[in-house]
Formats: sequence, structure tokens, C-alpha cells
Amino acid sequence: MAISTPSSGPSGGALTEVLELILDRGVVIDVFVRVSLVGIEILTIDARVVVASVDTYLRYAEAVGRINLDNKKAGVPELMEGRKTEKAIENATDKLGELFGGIFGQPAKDAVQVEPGKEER
Amino acid sequence: MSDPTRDSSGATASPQATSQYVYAVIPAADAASWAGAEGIDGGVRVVEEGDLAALVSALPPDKTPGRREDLEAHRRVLGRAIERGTTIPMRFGMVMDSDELVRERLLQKHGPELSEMLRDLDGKVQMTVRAFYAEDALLGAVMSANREIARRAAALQGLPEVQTREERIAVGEAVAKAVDERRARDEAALLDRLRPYADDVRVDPAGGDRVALNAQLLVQRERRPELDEAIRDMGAMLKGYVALRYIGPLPPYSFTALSLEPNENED
Repeated sequence: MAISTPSSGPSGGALTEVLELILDRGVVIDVFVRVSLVGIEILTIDARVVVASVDTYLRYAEAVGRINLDNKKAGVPELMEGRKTEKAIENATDKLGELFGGIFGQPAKDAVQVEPGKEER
Repeated sequence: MSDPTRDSSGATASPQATSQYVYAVIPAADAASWAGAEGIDGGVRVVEEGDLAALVSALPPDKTPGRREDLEAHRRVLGRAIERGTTIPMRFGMVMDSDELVRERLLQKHGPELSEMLRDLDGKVQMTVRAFYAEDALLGAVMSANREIARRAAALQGLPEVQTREERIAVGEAVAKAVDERRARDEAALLDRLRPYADDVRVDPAGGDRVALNAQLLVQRERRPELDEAIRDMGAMLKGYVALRYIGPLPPYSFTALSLEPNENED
């Protein structure tokens, strides 16, 4: 399911998107809780996949190389609409600057492009 | 009174009358509007006590909720409740052994707290706002703003990984730090834009690399159109950098996170 910027108001959300709220929030009297964890564990894993994360330092380093070299590679399809090219990132960064009134400082336009000479591989 | 309530270890059921699955507490004044909604294992009923009412449905004594359908039913009933009026959501899995127990141990014993909560939540709903970075958008922004890191990363391209392992880790660490800072600033900036529309805000952990913001807003129903518009505008402006996910109206799960009897066993 694609996640897109809302254009016509909020949605009810998929079960996985509200799972944590249902399981961990709200009022409870512990002594009256009766829950089978087997089904829930599977759903919890699904919910985590929605915002899958891999963030070791090495992977960051790898990713830095990837955005410089493989700009045209397709994005993670289920999470985000659109393709993330270098240009899109620049444009969006500019927009962020507009929106937040330059709190973040001006990005250097050419900084993403790194040594075109090394791009074979 | 010592009704043999079960603990979460799921002791086997004794043959007795059906249990009651408890979904929510609502004002008794709203009870009349409840009829015919399907719950986890049967129709939703209302158990009233004074100014308060609990939404319940019968559950076989040997059944332990936890399947996807059970969660869906729980969400469906609560979604309907918040559409109709002020709602205190119960956490998933609250099962009491009889209507009497629902009255005594929930509505009477905790009546003052529940009534106060209902007053505080009157006319309010919860809206979830999550912001997801477009793929590599966060990294791209960080690299744009940190030329030194970009230069060091570039110098590593094409070199054998084994020889450059230390520098790769060092660069990665510098990137990670810059990414964290950027994400924190983005989160703060997004929150600043949302706060004016909310009576209260809870920020949940991001839960992933791609998540810029995971916020729960308590919003007055009549202010919803303003918030909807603000979200639309932000979404349009940030397109390509972050995508917003806007979910609701939900019962105020995050603003009722409360264990009424945290360490109690049985009395």
C-alpha cells in the first residue's frame, strides 16, 4: 500500500498503523487482561516492517555511496510515492528551507554531486 | 468479593456464564445510540452505572482474544464509538467475568477518574501524524549541508572495503550523527507547525530510519478542518522530502494511557 501525502483529509489507517495504540495505550486494569500473544506477535512484526529500519554505521556509509552513484534506482515501493532522484532531494530541501524559514541553513546545491570521475562500477 | 478473575497466563476456564470483553467507557447519556454493532464474538451491549457506561460484548469463558479479527473488531467498535461521541478506549484484551464485575470493578470503583477523564476529553479526538522521509532524502539533505562528510565519502568510492574499513566506519558514524541531528530538527520543526492545532501532543518514538515524526494529537472536533488544511499544505510543500501520513479520528488512546490498578493482584 502506498503512503502518500494526504490530499483529501485523514484516513482510518491500516490495522498495523494503529496496532501500537490498541495494544499499549488506553485504560487498563492489569488483573483483567486476557490476551493471546501468538497472533499479536505476528501482527507486531508486520507493523515493524511498515517502518523497516537498518541503521548500522556501515550501512550509512554504503548508502552515501548509493545516492551518489545510483540515482535512478527505484525506491522502496511500498513506503513512498515517487522516485528519489538527486534533483528531487535538492528541490525538497529548498522547500524545507521555505517552510521553516531557513532555520536549517542553506544547503550547498552542488554538494551532493561528488567526483563524477569515479562513477564507473 | 473475590471473583476468580484470570491473569494473563490464561488459566483454563471454569464452566460458568460468559465473560464480557470491555471496549470503552462512554457517558451514559450516549448509551442509547448503541445497538447492533458487531464486536469480537457477538453484538456490542451497554452496561450502565450512574453517569458512566461501558461498551461490552459477550465472550466465551475459554476464549482468549488475540487474532487479527479480534483486533480488527476492537478497532471497529472503538472507531464507531469515537464517531458518536466522547470515548475512553480500553486497552486491547480487557475481559471481565460478568456485567456485575464491569459495574463494580470498573465503573464504580474508578468512577471518579473515569468521569473526570470524560470531562477532559469532551469533544476531542486523537489524530496521528507521521512523517516519512522519501528514500535517501534525509541523507541527501545531510550530505548537501555537510560538504566535508560528502568529500570524505566520495574519497572512499571505488576503494576496496577491507582496506578502508576504518574510514568507512568513521564516515558512517559522522553521517549517522549528522542524520540524527537533522532528524531531530525536522521533528521539532514539524511539531512546531502542528502544535497550534492541538490541545495536547504526544511524540512517540520514530520507530525507523525513515520516520521524521510520529506524533499523536489531541484535537477538538471543531478544529479538525483547520488541522486538515494545515496537513494538506505541509504535505504539498514537503513533497519529495517527507510524505505525511494522517490517521484518524481515533479514540484518545494516547491520552488515556493509564493503568488503573498497576500492582494489584486480587482483593
